[in-house]
Amino acid sequence: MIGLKMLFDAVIGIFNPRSIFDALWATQLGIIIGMLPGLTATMGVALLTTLTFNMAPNNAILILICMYIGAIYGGSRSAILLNIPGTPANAATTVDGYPLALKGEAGRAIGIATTGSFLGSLIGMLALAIFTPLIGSVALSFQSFEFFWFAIFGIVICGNLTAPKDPLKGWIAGFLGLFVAMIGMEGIHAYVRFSFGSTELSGGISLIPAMVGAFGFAEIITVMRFTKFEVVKTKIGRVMPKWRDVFKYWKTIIRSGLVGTFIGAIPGVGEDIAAWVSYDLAKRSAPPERRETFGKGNEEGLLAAETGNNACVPGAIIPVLTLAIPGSAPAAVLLGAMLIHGIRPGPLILVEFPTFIYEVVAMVLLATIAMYVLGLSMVRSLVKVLLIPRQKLMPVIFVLCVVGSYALQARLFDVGVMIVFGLLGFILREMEYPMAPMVLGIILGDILDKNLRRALVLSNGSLVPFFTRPICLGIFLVTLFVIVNRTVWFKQFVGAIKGMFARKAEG
Amino acid sequence: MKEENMPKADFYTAIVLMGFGILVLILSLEMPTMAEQSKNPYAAPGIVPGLIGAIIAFLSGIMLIRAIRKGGYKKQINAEVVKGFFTHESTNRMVKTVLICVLYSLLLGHVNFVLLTTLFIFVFVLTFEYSFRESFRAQARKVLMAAVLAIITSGAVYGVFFYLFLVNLP
Repeated sequence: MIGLKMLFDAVIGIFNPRSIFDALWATQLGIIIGMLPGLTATMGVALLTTLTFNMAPNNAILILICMYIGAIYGGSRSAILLNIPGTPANAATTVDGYPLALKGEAGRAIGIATTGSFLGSLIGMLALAIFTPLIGSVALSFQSFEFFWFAIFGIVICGNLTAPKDPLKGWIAGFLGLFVAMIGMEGIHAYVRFSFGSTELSGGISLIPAMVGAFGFAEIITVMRFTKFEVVKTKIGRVMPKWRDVFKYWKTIIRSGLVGTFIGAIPGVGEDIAAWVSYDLAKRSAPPERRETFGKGNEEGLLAAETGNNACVPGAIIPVLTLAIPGSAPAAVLLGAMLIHGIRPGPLILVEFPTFIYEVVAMVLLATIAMYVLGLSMVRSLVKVLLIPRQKLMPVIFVLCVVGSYALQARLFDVGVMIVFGLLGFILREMEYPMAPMVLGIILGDILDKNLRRALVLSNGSLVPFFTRPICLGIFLVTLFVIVNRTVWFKQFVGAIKGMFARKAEG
Repeated sequence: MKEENMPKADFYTAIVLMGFGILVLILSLEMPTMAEQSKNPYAAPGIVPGLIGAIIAFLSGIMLIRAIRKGGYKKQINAEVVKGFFTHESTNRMVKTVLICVLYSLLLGHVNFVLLTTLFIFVFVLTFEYSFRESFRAQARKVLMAAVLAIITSGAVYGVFFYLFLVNLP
């Protein structure tokens, strides 16, 4: 009951003129950033973090959440009209969105994508409201042993899912991120590690410049490599969807919403995976005759992808609030922004900032409504943004990357960090190393470092509690399964067992 | 990167990463245990980085073995491949982007911010839009538009950050 009252108060409190104004401009900006291929939600949230650090914490977090939700939705526009996902989260949207646009149904496709994103976001928001306090109260009993395993689990699962071709590269990227977090003064003895006498390095590598580099500068280089995109020449007709068209797929909406939220809550696994899994499940559960139409402009496929990726956003905020572990790359920046504003997410949030969880739920609600209203209006005029030549847009974005990195601590060193991480990010991406585990590693490094050492002190050097405490054992076994599951031996073993059963069945 | 070149790239990357992991491990082992200050040795600052270094070296070792199995050590990068890479238009655009951006970042703090930013945007736009094969007169509009964009952007960024967010720009 106390929770419901806090939620009610938060919702009433958020609907004031200032918050509504902030939500509208930030969501619109998010939609534009999401629309432009190469500008991702992570980059948008990171750049806006630097612009909002003088604001009151709640206004700043509202603006960042609006940017996040707006950008993930906005990417569907370019996915439908250009066949190029505006953000990686919208890759699955292209599969059915673009064929619909080619059929002259771009307006309808945008309407379905907007409604799917709206409903997905609402489902995620409900899960955020229900599960965050529950997980938060369980997390209060976690000790250093559990947090150590959570950090390892985050890196392993994130590496596994973001590098489906080769999880080894995902894991290496994650451990490189953990190493980056080791640079500078450590938190127990104040010993300076890997600074090699540099006073700048002894302060450590800040997350925001590193992320602006990895997701901003690296994107600029990638985008500038290619020549211009072609916008599909189609008339955008009625955008407002017919509710009957959408709600006949209510099962797909609920399934994609729940799947998206669940995937969002897994550390480091972002909206792109949520969209693909939702799309795949929708395709598998469709009757065979309709399954054929997936990839040829099937509205259910489009709806599943967009519901899944936007449901992932509130899902990704759940571990941010309860464990201080981000569910996705943009959520990692959001976590950084919360820390900058003096909010300390993690198990103690229920004790230190009990109303904040519900305020975040209210912010997600306001952002979702703003996204729906803006998503269905000004569609034709906003499409013109896609026609801005990249050589005019990218230098402006780069200036914002530079100023944004510098502004947080007024250090030119941070501009250097941004450049180095941009180049590193670009090279690693070319070599098929995913960036998400690396970013997650930078965030989890401190958690891993402090908790492993604290746990060893508590156990007097014994490793036994790491494997005998029930939650530790559970996370360890899941982590081990995730690793073993990708080995050739495991696949051969599963194949042999399947063969044995098949022979028995035949016999 | 082309799929067929990946084993070669993986082979060299694995060697570099393995060396890096071992170096991190050695540097971590050299860190003090703080036991001489009567502190618990299990909280020594080198424990976690050492573990991370060892894991990076181990994972890179697996990647190295895999790259060797795929013949990554055998594949030759011939002059044609290298020439093809460096003469490709996308490489040309990428190198130009990196050079202009890095130069801008290096000059920050040494040249007035507004002037430097105006020049950066102007040069960036024209690098990709201006063609030396066409006459200046035919491209005067492009030059003018680049100048207008550069002045407006640098002025707006300076105004917003300096006056609104009270950031002393470099």
